[in-house]
Amino acid sequence: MSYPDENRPTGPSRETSRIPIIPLWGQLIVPLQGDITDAQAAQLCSDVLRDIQRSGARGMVVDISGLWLVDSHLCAVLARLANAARLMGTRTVLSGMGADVALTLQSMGIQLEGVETALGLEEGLAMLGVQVTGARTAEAERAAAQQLADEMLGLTTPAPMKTSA
Amino acid sequence: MNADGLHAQLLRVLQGFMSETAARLVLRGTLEPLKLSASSLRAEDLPRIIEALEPASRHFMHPAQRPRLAAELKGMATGVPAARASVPGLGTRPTPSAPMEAAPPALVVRPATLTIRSEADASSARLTARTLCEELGGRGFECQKVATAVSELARNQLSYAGGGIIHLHPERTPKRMLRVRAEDKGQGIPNVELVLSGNYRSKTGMGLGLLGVKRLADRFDVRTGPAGTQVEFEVWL
Repeated sequence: MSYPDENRPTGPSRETSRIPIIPLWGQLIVPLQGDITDAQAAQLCSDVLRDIQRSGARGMVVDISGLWLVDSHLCAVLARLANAARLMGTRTVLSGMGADVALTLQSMGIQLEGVETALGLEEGLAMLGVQVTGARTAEAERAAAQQLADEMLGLTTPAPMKTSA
Repeated sequence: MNADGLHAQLLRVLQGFMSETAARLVLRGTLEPLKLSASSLRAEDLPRIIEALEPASRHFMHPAQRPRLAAELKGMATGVPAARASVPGLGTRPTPSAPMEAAPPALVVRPATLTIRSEADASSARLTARTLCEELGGRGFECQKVATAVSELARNQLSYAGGGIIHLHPERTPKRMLRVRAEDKGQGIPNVELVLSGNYRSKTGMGLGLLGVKRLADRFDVRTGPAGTQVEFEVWL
């Protein structure tokens, strides 16, 4: 239960609690959630840039699919973060912007110039060169579906089934 | 009032803001660390309990309703029921008739006035704006527009005027809309025409706050001078 600090009401408040920065396959993933305060955003910038320096990450995905509101100030912070990271040699991809947020920013005339964007976290990581291997890629699923269709049409013989009773 | 009566009354107040399960959980979680039990509550313990309830309950309720819960709890401690009209909130709540009434209050869409002094206030203002918009039946994009515009105005108030007041007026006739008025007593915007022309960039942001509100709004009006700034806008739903 989200009920950690009943004995110290002056504990870390939401305004100052830190946003997680996750190192993954040589990249950094920064998931933003809910409602980011200005203090958190400022803290985030310095934390991320420090982590880039420490970890030598080549790329970073900032996933904003969990944000319900993105205003001009947050956009400015994200653009500044991306530009600072670029100066350090790290590529930034912004992923997961919702349709309503995108329409709103577009109406306001906010372009987020200089920031690469991707539909979701997967696409964002793919842009940074992370390749998915294994059965669950989109291509593998398509191939499996094609195979199944072919079998049902009798175009290919099904893989031999184990018939041990 | 006896111990059980106090306990039941605390539960009833909490249940006006959250489900019965959450209310029981919050109350039990508050009493235990204070070494109090439901069967031995005394009126003298109330101030301590109320103080501890505030942080304990915040995860279970809408932030904009916090002042109202605080007022109702305080009313319990002083024996005077909270004056509802003086508390900014999302709507009136019918007095619970039975302690078992667990359903959240049916929110009547009515105007809200929010004082912006801190980032937390700004955060609750945009959440309230969005909630009002949703209750009026606004679609996602419209609610997003309203919440974003309110966020921009609240930020301007905090950065340039040290705070202000935001009024949210839902209207149903002749048109469904949310009218927002933001007032502050700051020094005004010195070059408001330049800001609204789109050729201005502030040092901190992108210079798009006020212009962004204008672009999002269906009607927009700004009056500014050395005595303060009033921005009024409407988003039609």
